[in-house]
This record gives sequence, C-alpha cells and structure tokens, in this order.
Amino acid sequence: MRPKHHPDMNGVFQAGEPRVPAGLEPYQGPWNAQTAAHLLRRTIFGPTKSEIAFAASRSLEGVIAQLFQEQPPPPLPVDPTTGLTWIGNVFDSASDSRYQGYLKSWWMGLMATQGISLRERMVLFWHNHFPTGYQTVPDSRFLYRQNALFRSFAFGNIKELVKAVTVDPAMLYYLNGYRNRGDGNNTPDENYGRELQELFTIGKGPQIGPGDYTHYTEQDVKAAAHALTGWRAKGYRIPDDPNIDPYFWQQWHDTKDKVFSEAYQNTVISGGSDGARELNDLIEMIFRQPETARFLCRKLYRWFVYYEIDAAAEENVITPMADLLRGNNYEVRPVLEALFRSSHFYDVNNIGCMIRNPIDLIAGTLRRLEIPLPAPESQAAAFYPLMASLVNTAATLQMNLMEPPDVAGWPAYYLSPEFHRLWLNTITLPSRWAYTDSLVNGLRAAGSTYAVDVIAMAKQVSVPVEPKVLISEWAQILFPFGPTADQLEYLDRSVLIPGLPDYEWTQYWASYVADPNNTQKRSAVTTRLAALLKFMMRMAEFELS
Amino acid sequence: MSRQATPRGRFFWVNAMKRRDFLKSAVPLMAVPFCLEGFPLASSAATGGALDRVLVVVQLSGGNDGLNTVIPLDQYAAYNSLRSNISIPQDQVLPLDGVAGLHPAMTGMKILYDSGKLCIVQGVTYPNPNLSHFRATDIWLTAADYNQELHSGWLGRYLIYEWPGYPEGFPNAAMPDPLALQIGSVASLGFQGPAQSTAITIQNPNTFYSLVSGSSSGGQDEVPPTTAGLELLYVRRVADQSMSYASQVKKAADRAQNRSTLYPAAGQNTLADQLKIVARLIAGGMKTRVYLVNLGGFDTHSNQVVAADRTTGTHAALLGKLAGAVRAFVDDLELLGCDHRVIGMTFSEFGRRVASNASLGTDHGTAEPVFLFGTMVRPGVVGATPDLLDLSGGNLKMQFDFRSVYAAILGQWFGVDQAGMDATLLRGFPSLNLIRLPRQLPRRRPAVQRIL
Repeated sequence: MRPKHHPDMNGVFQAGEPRVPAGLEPYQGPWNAQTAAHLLRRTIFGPTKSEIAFAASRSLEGVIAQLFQEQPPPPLPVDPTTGLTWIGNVFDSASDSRYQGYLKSWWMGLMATQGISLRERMVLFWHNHFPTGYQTVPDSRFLYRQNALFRSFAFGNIKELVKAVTVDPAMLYYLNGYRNRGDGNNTPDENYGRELQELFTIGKGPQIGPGDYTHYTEQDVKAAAHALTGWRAKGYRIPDDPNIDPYFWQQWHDTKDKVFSEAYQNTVISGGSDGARELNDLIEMIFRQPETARFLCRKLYRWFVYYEIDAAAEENVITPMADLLRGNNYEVRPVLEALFRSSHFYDVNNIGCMIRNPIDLIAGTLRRLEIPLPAPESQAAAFYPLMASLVNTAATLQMNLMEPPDVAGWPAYYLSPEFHRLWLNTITLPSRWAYTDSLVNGLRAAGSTYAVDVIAMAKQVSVPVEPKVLISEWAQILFPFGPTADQLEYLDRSVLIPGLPDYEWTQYWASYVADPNNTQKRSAVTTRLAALLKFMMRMAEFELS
Repeated sequence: MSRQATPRGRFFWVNAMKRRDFLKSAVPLMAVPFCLEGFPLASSAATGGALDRVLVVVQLSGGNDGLNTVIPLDQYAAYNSLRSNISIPQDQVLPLDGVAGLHPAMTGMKILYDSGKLCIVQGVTYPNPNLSHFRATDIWLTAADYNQELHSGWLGRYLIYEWPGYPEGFPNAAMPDPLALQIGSVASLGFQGPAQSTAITIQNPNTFYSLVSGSSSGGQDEVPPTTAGLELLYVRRVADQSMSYASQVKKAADRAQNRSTLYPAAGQNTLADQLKIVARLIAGGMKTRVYLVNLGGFDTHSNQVVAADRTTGTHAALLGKLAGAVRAFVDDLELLGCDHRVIGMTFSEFGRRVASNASLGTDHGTAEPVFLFGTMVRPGVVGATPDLLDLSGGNLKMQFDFRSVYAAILGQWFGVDQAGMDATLLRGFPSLNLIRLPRQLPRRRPAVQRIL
C-alpha cells in the first residue's frame, strides 16, 4: 500500500502532487561541490572537506566508479591486548564477550576510517536487512562470519546473498533454523520461513483474508519452513572444533513435497533428501515473483534517498529500479549506479532531507572533523578502546551494532509514518549534542584524549580572518544546506564574537597568526572557534544529510 | 482553525455503554488524590476528576505465550496433550477461580488477584489476526482492523481529542506536562497523533535534564520550501520539546521517592526499573495521562522452558519479572497514596500457537489474555478459558476484540464522551466492564501521610 504524504507535507505538496516528479533518467545538471557533497554524504561516512573537493573535481561517473571499486578484504579483527586474532579458533567461553566488543569496535573502525567507497555503508545496509544479534547468538566467530559475508556481497547478487544467508550459521541460530526439524511427528520451527518472506525478500502485502498476506500466505510460511528443515551449523559455542560451517542433516529433513499457495502459482517443491536443491528451489521461486524486486528496491531507496515513496516515486523510480534488478539477474550494483546518476537523486527535494542515522552521525562527524586516530593495526591498544566508546555512543543513540532491536532491523527504515524521524526524540537528540560537544571538548578513551583541532579546521578555510567566510565554509562541511542570511548573522554576532563587531574576530585571528606560539592568543581563538563549532553541530541542519 | 488548549467536557460510560453521569459522587472518592508528597492535584476539582486519571501500558514485546501464562485448568488434559514438552505441571499452577490458573512464576500477580487488584480478560485479539510481529504490533497500537492501515495510534488520537492543537501552545498552565511519556528510546506508534507524537521519550529524569541543560539549539528561522525544510522543522520541534519539558519532568521526579520495598535491586528487572520512574513521576504531581513501558523477549520459538523443569526457563523468567514488577508498582502507588488514580494494562502483539514445536518453544499465534491491574480495576477473570478443542488453523479463536478493552478504558476510566470514543476508536465497539464503580472500592490501606 502506498502511503499518503506525511501530514507535515501538507502545504508544501498538494494531495496527489509528486514529491519529486523526476525519475531514474540520468541527471543532466551541473556537477559541483554541492552535488558532489550530496552524493558523498549519502554513500560514505563523512565526507571531509578535501573529499568533497576531490569529488567535485572529477565527473559524476568518475566518482561512481570509485564508490564501487572493489577493495581487498580488511585485516581480521584482533584482540588489542595481544594483537592476535581469534577468528578461526575454537570457541573461547571465557573471552568471547570481550571478543564481541572487539568485533564491534573493529567494524566501527572500518566505517570511521574508510574513504570514498560504498562498501561499509552497504555492509550496514545488509546488517539492517538481515539482522542478527549477539544476545541471541553469543558466539563472536559466527557474527564475524556473517559480517564478512555481507562485505563480500556488498553490492553483489542479492539472490545469491539470500541463499547464503539462509544457511549462514549466525542466521541459523538467530531465527532457530538450527532446530528446524520435520522428521516424524516433529513440527517445524516457522521462524525463519516467515521472516524470509515477510522481511528479507517479497514482503508482506495487505492481509486480504485469514492468513493471506497477498504476496504469501500462512501455508507458504509453513511450506518454506518444511523445505528448510535439517540445516544446522557446527561448532556453535563449542571449545573443541574451530569449524563453524553449516551442513545439511538429512535425518531431520521433511522428505514430503512442499506445496505452496496460489500466491506462488501453487508451486510444488518436490521432497526428498537433497536439502540444497530444495533451498535453491525455494529462493528461486520467491525471486520469480516480480514483487520481490520491488520490495528490495524500496528498501534500498529508503536507505539512500528518503523514506516516503509516493505514487510517482513508485512508478518513476522503484519500478525501473526493479526492472534493472531483474534484468541484471539480481545484481545490485547496476541498480545503485542508476540511482546515483539519476535526476531523481539530485532533485532539490532529495537533498538534505534524510535524518542521519547514529552511525553516520558518529563515524561521519569524526571524519568530517578530521580528528587524528591511532592506527587500527599497529596501535590497536589505543584504537580499539576509542572505537568501543563510539560503539557505546551508537547504542545510546539507538543503533547498537550487532544488536538490532529485532529481526525487522531498525524501525527508522520500516515504521510508517515517522521512519527516519524515529532516530530523534527528546532523549536521543540531546545525546547527539553531548557526543558532538565531546569531539570539541575532548573524548577520552584508554587514557588518551581525542578532539578536533579547531585551528587547523579554521586554517582550511579560504579566508579565515573573515567571520562570515569562516562560518559559510564550515557550514559546507557540516550542513547539507544553509545557513540563511539571518543564521549567518547570528552565528557571527552572537556565537563567534558575542556582542562585538566583525573586526574583533579579524583582530583576534590576525594577532594569533602573527604570534602562533603565544598560548594566550591561541586560546583566545580556540575558545571562540570551539563555541562556534559546538553551536553549529547543535543546529537542526547538522542532523540532516 | 482555532486551537483549543483547554480540555473538553467528559462523561463516564459504564456497564456496556450505558451512560451514567456519576461524576458528582465520584469526585470525593476517586479524584482528590493526595499523593504522598502532599500537594493535591490542582486541576482535579476544576476538571471533574477524570483528567487526573492515569493509564500505564505495559507492552510485552515478542508475542507472549498466553496459554502458559493463564493456564486453562478446566481443560488440562487437552492443554497437556497439545504441548506436552512445555506444559506446566497441573500441581504447580497457581489456581485462580478454579477454572484458570497462573504460571508458578507469577506469585506477584496471584497476590494482586487475591487482594482484588487484578483483572484478566481472556481470549483477546481481533478478527483475522495477523501473525507478523510488526503488523500485529501496529494493529494493537493503532487499533486498526486487520485490513486497515492507520498511521496514528489510539492513544495519540485520544490525547489529541482531549488537547486539540497539541503541540502548538504547549506546555501551558492547564497542561504543563507532556501528555504522554514513554520510558524508552524510540517513540511508539501508539502515541502518534495525526501529525506528530503526543509523547516524550525519556530513560531517566535526571539524565534527561542534564542532557538539555545549557542548550541553545532550536531557533525559529525560516526553512526552505522543500522536503528538507520539513525535516528541519521536525528536528527543531524535538529540540524545543527536549528543552521545555526537561525541567518539569525533573521537578516531578525530585518531589517524590519510591516507597515500596518490593522492587528488586536496580538492573535486575528492567520493567520494575521503568515502573519505579513512572511511580515517582505520578506521585511527584505530573499531569501526564498515559505512560508506556516495555518488557521484551517474549518471542519464544525455542527453549521457552527447560526440559528438566518446565516451570523454569526463558518464559518463566519473563513472567516472574512481569509479575514482580507490577506487584511492586501497585504496592508503591498505594504507599504513595496515588493508587486510586492509576490503572495499568498489559498487552502483547499476539499469543502463541496452541501446539508447541520441537524446539521446546511455540510459534506465532493469536488470542492472548490481557491483564489490568490496580486498585480501581474490577477484579476477576473475564471470559472463559480458550476452547482448546475449537481452534482455527491451530490457533485460538477470539473471545473479545482488543478494542473492547480500549473502549472500557476510554469510557469507564477516562470518562470519554461519545465523540471522543469515535475520534479514538473510529467506529463502535462494545465495551467490557473492567473498572470498579465507586461503591465497589476496596478498603483503603492507610497511606503514610505527610502533608508539607
């Protein structure tokens, strides 16, 4: 069902008026710092001032090519106290909860240090799409394996990824597949069979009758569960076997035929003892339904563009994206490339309209402010604790990595009508301010303090001695649009140099530059720049992307 | 459109939609609450009382297995044969009325039942139940039909009916506090009004206050006429609300202390920790009408019980937390002298399948028992135990529509008039009879009064 405009839209859009009439056709407008920054804000964590300048100096196609460039797999996570990895070892019950923390820190580190590449943003997308949590699957090796699977498929083939996820060991434990048996009188566990259809592939349509959700029925939930009986994983929390591969345990499999409803053209998956063949048939059957591609494209759209999909967006964007996805045998890359070069993506109504998710806020701000970080490998003992503190902040802001609220992922990506707005409420917004303040005041981790160098940030500005130039150029890093003339005036006269004329700043700055080793002069400009930066990061514009 | 910031007139609806205006007799008994810290709630006389009444909603996320919560003792043989690997042994069940009994972990609820402070409504769901967690949760929160998609919550619609125009002009003298408050972090769809949420979300009153103190955000600059401009307005609204309500909430929390000794130590029972905050805010004089708290983990597909002792395991631990927290909360309200203006209700998005699966668990199901608790609920068990021999696709059939429970709360507890009923539930539902009449009040336990 297509939602109507959010009630807040009344007054800006008339009922029935498309929010953005433009579709998936290629964008023909100018390519400059504004458009380049928009593309980077939506696809990477950051961007920094120099990344925006770099992207603006290339063509749109050139930047897209770089975003999708294959990267070598990252180094394995390590225990920072030893510098050694535990991945590939047997389960270590005494250390695994510690390892889990390192794993999260490692992943946060990949996001906080990645340059112009779409990969980590897609890994996070897949984690939201196929959620698994440590609370349910307390074996860090399983979660690492799943995370690596997402990275290897980052913008690869979604049909093949679904096949792999179905027997991914962490998923087998998260949704009880490992206990799903259909031999004898055993009743299969329907958990995975349901979520596979409802959340991972075809999506639930309107309920049009008892147990009939348009795209599938309760009969299909049961039939899918029966088809997947017998899949298990080795080595789960076992200290004597490092092998955690999935395997098919034929004795638990229901060998009868699996009969699907009219929603699947009454498909029958013939029974027997070949579990891999039935799994393959099941996923192929689901992907034969045109609705599956549409459902997945809506999910991508809400991750990269905006949460509302009106009739025009459905027709002009979702439908052609779904056609591309099917036409390319479910390869994701050509679909995203088309989206990122579309006139829809660069429409003024799609710029700055996303509320940044907590990881984007945390890792992205760290990168925008170019805070120097310890090296992930050679300085692991400093790097991991710092990343752990960011992971904790993300949890406070309601995006706990590897601990999504439930199997549907984060509500910001599915819960109508508020969607992305759910990231912000009277507790999380002030907590975001506390985080951004800390990057200016100094964030402490493992005995070190990490803070932005506001003077270096001011020196990046073309004419730092001019307050309004300073503020406007900082705004290009921090905001997707603005400031307005009134805001610029306010930031200058009431925040940077309260109650004083512009030349006061000019004098402060000039006198510091003339005598940079004078601590008093340095602290005079630092205090004012810090106040300005904290204030700007508490402005509503900063929450948008 | 003119905005009204004052509440509308109201009536009580009792005894299955039979209107009785018993406000006059009700006020002295029920609506001059002296909470412990001694200040009478100023608006009670002016508004006729019902606006001082509070509802605390306890959401049990994941789908609670109702058949192992309220066990059908009168059909024990059928119950035991349908779920022999997870059934609660008959002699361990805490008997209620001879027909149904509680899970042995729920001694706190049993004590409430015996003292006339617990009402259990059996077999609650809706026609054509949905077995998806997410859709079913939305249905309960929005009070929708199975095939109807609503984008506002039933509580949000009710609160907007009482305070039209919110949030414009709020907070104000008549309503200085948030209309609704949620302990948690993500705003519930239940509080969503036609345009925005009617609730604020906090984790802890003191943290909330210290987070926003010293903030200078907000601002009322013009916004661009684009989608981004609309989102910008939203962010600014949240910023403004954070700042305007933080000190109110902290003041209320500072004015009262919990009195019950029955709460477990902090960190042991997340539901109890949340209800402790709610009790303080109510006793501290907040005029907030609805609170929402949450206990998760009920999606017991596997290992719901421990095979060696089926009265233990995940589900038993959850029910123990629920019963312990609710009992301590009711006790606290009594000691704080607020129990006559607070009721609570529990709900879960669905019950679970009658027959268990092979993983010592249960799959998604339909009807469930709903608990109402507090001094003012009409005690007892409403409805029969679910008929285990008359199932629909292996699932329980409906006895009561959940909106009949909502109708009772709106009509008999909040005293909402017909227009308010229509605005909230969108169409008519027969009301159950779930709230006590004034003359049925139990003897009041003497509260430790300390008038400041």
